[in-house]
Amino acid sequence: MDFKLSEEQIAFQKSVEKFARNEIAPLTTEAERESRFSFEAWKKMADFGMMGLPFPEKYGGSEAGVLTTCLGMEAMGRAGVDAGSTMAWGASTILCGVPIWLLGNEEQREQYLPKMITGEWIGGMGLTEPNAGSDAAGMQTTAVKKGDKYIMNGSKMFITNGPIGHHFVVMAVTDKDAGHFGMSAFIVDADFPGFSVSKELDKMGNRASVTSELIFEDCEIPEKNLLGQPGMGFIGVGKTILEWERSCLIAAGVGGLQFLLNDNVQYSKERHQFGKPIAHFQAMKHKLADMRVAVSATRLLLYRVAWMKDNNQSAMMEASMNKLMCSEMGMRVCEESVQLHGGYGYMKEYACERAFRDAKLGTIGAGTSEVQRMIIAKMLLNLKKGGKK
Amino acid sequence: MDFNLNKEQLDLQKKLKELIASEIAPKAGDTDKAGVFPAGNWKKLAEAGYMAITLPKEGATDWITGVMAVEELATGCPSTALCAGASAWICGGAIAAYGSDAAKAKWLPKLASGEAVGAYAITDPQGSHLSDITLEAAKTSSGYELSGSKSFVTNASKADVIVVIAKTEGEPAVFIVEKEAGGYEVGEAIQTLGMKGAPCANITFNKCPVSEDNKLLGDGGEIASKLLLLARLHTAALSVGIGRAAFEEGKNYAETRRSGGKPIGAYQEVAFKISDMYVENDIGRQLSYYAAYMLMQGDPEADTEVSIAKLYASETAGRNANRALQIFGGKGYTLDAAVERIYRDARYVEIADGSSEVQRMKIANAALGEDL
Repeated sequence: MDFKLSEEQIAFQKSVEKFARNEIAPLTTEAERESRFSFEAWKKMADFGMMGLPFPEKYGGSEAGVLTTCLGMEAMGRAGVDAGSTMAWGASTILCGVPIWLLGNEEQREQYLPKMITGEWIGGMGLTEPNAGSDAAGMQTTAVKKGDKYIMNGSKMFITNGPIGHHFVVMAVTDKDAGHFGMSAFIVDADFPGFSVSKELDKMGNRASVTSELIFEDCEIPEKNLLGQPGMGFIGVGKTILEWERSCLIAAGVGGLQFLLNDNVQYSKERHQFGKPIAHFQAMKHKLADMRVAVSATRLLLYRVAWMKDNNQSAMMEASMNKLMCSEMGMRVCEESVQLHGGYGYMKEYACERAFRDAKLGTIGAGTSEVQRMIIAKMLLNLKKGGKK
Repeated sequence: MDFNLNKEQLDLQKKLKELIASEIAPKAGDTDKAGVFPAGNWKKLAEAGYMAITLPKEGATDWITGVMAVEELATGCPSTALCAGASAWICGGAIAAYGSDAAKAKWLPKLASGEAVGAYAITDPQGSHLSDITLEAAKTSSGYELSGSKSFVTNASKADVIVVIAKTEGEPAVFIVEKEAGGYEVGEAIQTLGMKGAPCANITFNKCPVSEDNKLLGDGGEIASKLLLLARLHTAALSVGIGRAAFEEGKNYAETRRSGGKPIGAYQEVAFKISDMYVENDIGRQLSYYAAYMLMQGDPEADTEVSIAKLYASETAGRNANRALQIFGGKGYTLDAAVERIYRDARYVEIADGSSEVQRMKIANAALGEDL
């Protein structure tokens, strides 16, 4: 066992944190207040190399690996960048870029990855539908082969980067009798005939990212935009990105807990009540202690998934644990942060107000806490053990 | 970075699992009911080399291996793990770190082989804080004489050697008290809620003679802190074992007990408890390994990480014991059920070696820094 990060990783993390604090957080904090996406911040992140972290150098990336990618995003969170901005990064880089890289053919990679890495093109992913989230068997979007095209009909719900995406990795049913093996993945460009997006969805948090529904009305997709093998969309994409998603998309949130802890430490020293800093009261101190516990616990969960993935070990269980606990511990830290700040914490001016709204998505998105518990329990329990009686 | 145990550690883990599953765990209920020092288990573990794990003949202690071993033993029998921990891990650990050459040569081989039983005495009748310590060590021509008393000393009546925190001329100092030198009396075994197989007792010292060689070397306050640090890390690993035992009991019952035509594990209320038990206990385990690693690195954050591990793992053990008992329902409330014992044993770890409240104080103070 060895929990040491390399010198390069530590230096990289520090440089990202400094960059994000000076260059990104001011822009995205303002964008969040105005509920808009900051293209300026996006371009700066791309110029710094954030969009290319996982990808091979031949496309303009830096082949950083899962752990180092996580460290970079953790640093963004530590610098106080909001969850919406880092989620926009995740939806493009991880949910859209990684499947194109790992499942796509060379032509698709060359076509899409370089411009995603420079920040010129923003990507997204469409799996969830108005009537089907984690229950993928309920998927209703279909794609029917017609000549050298697929004709797609249906819609995708809650799609991060929907209004601004250049292209999306979209899952659709191509063989309704084949269950999970009847779904295929496509790269759908926003300018394909029959593609449109709904008006922007108005969200509780993550407001520096933009979200909409994707609508497919006889949307024409060239056959060459099929991603991976027909029928392997759900299984292939799921297997390819699961550990990436449940580590890299959570990393910024883990860094955010460190940011909040620092913020609470400072506030509790400065804020005086009953003649002394509130940090002198045990009820406040012990909130700080629980936040500090969450910082260590979530970092270990995160790094483990990333390390396992980098070492080609299956980390299904660890990935679900990471998703479940980072989001739930995160929600608790945010709640206690607002509580420690009292009335000020309820005001938009304070970082914990935004963090509180942002954190709630953690326990809902990418499989709710309940779904994670279902997955974990299913892996643990052998319900056939007792036999039928 | 590497999250895996190495081959040597995995081999030792396998060996311990086999021994504990066949010889020790099946008697955990009897060990609890007997309420006396588990001499039979002690002998088997000593022969298997368990006591020597944290007392290597040369080189630094691998606390990660120690955490692994304690979890295994505590999963099978927490009381036995507590007895062994008080001896080799804490008493032995203090002597190894701060003992004179003479004291090390005399006691470490015997503690490592299990031939001698060790104990540690921190708590005064007034409390565990250094300012509460009233046990007086008076300087004599040949060493010291200890007068006063200590409370809740695990292994007290069995111990051949006890590490004792006292004060000499108002300053904390730590001493090795030897049974053969006499000068102290062990009270009746104290009846406890759990951990009954690891009886504790109060000790009264009456001009108890301690040679100069048996004063631990260094600043007394620092040694006392280190002793508590080791005890906390041990309790973290002990907690992970108890939390796992609760998980394993609950899981087995959820799989085999049927109600409404299906195993109760098919109900989400039960399945989600199983999930939470596993997940939280695994976090406690990772935190414990990480704390052990930080300790081995000599990292200044080690103290805080040990407190974090102890706090989280012990509270998880408590939650898991409660969840497991709930899954068992009425059956878990009976004295025949292992979960009933686990529930009582789990209550120990949230109190011992610095209660949860004390850990939160320490963690918060570290986060706040010195400029508060």
